[in-house]
Amino acid sequence: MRRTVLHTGATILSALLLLGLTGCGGSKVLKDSEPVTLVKPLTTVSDQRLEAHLDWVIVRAGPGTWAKNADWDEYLMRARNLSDEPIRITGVTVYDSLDTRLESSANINNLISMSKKTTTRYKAEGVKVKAGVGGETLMAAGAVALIGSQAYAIAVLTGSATGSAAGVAVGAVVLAPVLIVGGMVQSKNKDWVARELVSRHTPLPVDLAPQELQSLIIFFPLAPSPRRIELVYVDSNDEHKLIIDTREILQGLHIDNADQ
Amino acid sequence: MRPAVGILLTLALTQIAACTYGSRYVELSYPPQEQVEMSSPSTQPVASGPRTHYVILAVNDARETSDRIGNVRDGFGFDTASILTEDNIAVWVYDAVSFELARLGYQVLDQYGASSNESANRLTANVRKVYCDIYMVYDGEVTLQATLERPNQEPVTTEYPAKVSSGLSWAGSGSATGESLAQALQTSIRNMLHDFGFTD
Repeated sequence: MRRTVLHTGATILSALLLLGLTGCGGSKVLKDSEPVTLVKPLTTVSDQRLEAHLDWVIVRAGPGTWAKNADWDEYLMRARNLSDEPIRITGVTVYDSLDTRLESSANINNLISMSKKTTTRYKAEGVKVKAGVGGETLMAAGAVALIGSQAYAIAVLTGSATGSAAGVAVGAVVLAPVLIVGGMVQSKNKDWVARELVSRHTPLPVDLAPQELQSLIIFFPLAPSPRRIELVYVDSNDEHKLIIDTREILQGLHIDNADQ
Repeated sequence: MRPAVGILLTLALTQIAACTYGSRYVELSYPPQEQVEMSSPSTQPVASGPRTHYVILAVNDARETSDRIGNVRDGFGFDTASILTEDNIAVWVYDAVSFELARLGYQVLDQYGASSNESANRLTANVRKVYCDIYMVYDGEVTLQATLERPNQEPVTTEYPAKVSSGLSWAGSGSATGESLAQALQTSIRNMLHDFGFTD
């Protein structure tokens, strides 16, 4: 009986410790993120008014990544107004391989939540989604040249689970400050990632003067093997859509075929 | 019984530490729900003359830091969380200035309408600061640096800082933060428009 109580107490303590350490999520800004040099766009499309380049997609642990355990994709794009009147880009959306429309966001909570929904949706279809895997075509495109290695130090969480029944209560109270500090550190890490996301993203709408070229950094939740990106823009006459076909260049992105 | 109490206490404290201090996201809107009542403005109009019906407006986001628009402080005064927005600050201010000008009877043109309206005033606003410090109350601050160019007159540049303290901060909510910032923006804009003679 006493052994069972001891074991239960130890298990609860371990769970608490992990709770405190993991907090609201495991993302943080990497200190040794690698800069990327864009050599050529992955693809370029245009109509009479607008030209759009998809330069790169930063995925978890891929070239250019700056956050650990990123549950989102960062699309690096450029748009040029080819016309003689101003253009306003009002929306950028991506469609995954199930043709589900995914909205862009710079809100870390939205991105994580929407990525979880995508994973669940694909699981129901019998497809395993894993952030950062696949996308061999993207990697082979050679649009980026890396400086340095891509090795990251990943902290391994370890903890011992010992104590007595009385010690569990005392230990829990004693551990509380440790857990709180752990939780606050975790929360602060997430806050830095949230700030970095907002700082990097291009807020919409984007106004393009005649002939102007602008960079766009757009974040999306995980979009497995995305089919296309849609840029919606308006000029003085009407609303228009420019579609970037991504079926070939981003084929297999986030699709985990390891078990198949 | 005691272990259970200890564990529950720890769980509660952990939750507070890990999640309560998370980043807040604000959707910026205008006008504020509570309109700013203008007392006597601090300065007299610097420009006068017959009212022009058109104003060419341009707004630039010139903030030094663009990653957050505020912070939440805990009971000890420590900065514990960021206030963030996904919105385009320049567009938010442009729409707000347009709203106030339209309220005064002006028609706003974007900078591309300049060539066909040589008699129009040209108003350029650089957004220097948009920030809300949440401690006991919501202290929203907006600073606009505005330049007015009237036909055949020297350009006039003036800075319009505005600070509004509103509401008691119980939870540091995003909507109350947005309201505080909208009120600060309204104060800044109305001071600017009065100074530049748009309200004459």
